[in-house]
Amino acid sequence: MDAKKSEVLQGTLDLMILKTLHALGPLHGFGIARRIEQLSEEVLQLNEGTVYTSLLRLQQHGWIASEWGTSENNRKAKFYSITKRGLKQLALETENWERISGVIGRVLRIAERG
Amino acid sequence: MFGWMRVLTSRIRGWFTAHEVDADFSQELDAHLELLTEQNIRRGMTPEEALRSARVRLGGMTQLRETYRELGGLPVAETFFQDFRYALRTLWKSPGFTLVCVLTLGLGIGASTAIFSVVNGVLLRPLPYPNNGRLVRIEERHAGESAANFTYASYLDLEYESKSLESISAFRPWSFNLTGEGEPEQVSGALVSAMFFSALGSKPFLGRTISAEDDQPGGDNYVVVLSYALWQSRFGSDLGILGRMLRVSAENYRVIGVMPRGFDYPDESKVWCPLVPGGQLHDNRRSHLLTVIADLRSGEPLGSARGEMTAIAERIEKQNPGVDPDMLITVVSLKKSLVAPVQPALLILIFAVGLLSLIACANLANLLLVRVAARQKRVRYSCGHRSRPGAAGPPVAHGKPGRHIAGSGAGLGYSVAESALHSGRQYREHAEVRRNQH
Repeated sequence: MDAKKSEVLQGTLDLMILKTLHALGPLHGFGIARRIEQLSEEVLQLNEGTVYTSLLRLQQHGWIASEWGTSENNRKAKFYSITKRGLKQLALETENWERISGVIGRVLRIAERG
Repeated sequence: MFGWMRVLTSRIRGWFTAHEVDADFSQELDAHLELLTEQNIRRGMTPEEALRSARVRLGGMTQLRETYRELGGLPVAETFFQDFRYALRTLWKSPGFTLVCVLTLGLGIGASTAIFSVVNGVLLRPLPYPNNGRLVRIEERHAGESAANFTYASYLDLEYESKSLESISAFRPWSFNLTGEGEPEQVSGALVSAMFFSALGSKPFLGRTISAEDDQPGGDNYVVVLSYALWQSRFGSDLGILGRMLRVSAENYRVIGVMPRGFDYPDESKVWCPLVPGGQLHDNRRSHLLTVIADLRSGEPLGSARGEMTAIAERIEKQNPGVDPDMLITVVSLKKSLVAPVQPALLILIFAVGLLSLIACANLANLLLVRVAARQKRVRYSCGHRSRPGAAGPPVAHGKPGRHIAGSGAGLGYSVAESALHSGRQYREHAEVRRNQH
């Protein structure tokens, strides 16, 4: 296993997908996986199937909606889009994430100095 | 806040549309796989290589589908119904075994439930009177004899002297003939003193109860109080019943009140009339005819009432030498005095049916054990042949058929108990009708 690649935490993946749908509009699962791969510059090791379990969970909470449509290669594909409730959740989680990562960052810097 | 409810509804919906969801997801995965493969080919892989790499990236498809199904549906309900079907199939295959088990359990549960219902009603539940906690019965005893009734004279002494008791009242069960309008009818009832109803803490449903004036010789004492049941059955719940004249045991009585539903003390009484003391009754120290009940004055312990009764008994004996030798007056709670005759029998009965249920359980456990043993032998043979790992075969020594047998047994038990109680009630009614006929 490549030491530079990190496993993606499920909660983090949920947040990344929400943000992706928020930024890019309706996308299918494949598109979401590509976008995350591209943004993470291949640092995050993503088992692409897990994107779908994430999508299912987000749908169950009513944060995203899905609709069948046609993909770029003219095939049937399911497109996901963020809902109003999802936008609220995204704002909430973003704030949460920033606070926690700020705290962790500070803690790690203290540890370096000590 | 309602997030979990949304998830649950979605899961329930997913469970009902499981097939659709499954098909949808397969299609989605296939599309993803194709797109990945195409991308790989564009990057210069051979088609085989591209497909293989795409599969690796996507992860194990079968496992993924399983996770998706579990996440999207109700795995608990799923297993429950699987078990249910499995249990039904197994039980159906051996109807004899099933029948024996269900009958064993049904009779065991039914018998204990029926007896417990009786014990609950008779021994555990309080009497349906507001003063239940303080209600006592006062008995006259003589050395070496069982409880006796009071004479009118002793009752008057008691009423006059007692400080620890209040609403002391006497009554005498009596049988009345109702004639006049309608069918002649013999009903049970009681001749009661004025404080009878207030001792029990019961207020009339209509009109009034018997007053001290009614209970006087020479007064207007031809008055009657009816039970709710009699008012309903004989007088069609007539609200204008008060003041009506009634032929009771060949005399004209005026109806002054109706008691509330359920009030029928003593012994399913339907009619109450004043216990008017005749001239003779007053001094009579020989006729032990009266039952005496009273309320403990609030805050007064039973013990102090007992002490007082002993003193009163001594005084009565001293004042009337030779009439009531070795007289004792005892105080017991009314509830205790009512259930005392049946208590031992009921306790023995409930113990017996408890034992019966235990035996039923033991029998059942044995039967199930035998079956498990037999099945284990079979499974040992067939284990080598089981093909796919994780293939849906029922686990060995399943507890599920047991649970379903228990369920059906409980159901049967309920009906057994119901019908036992029902026939008990009918038997009592029958006995009553026969008693009234004689």
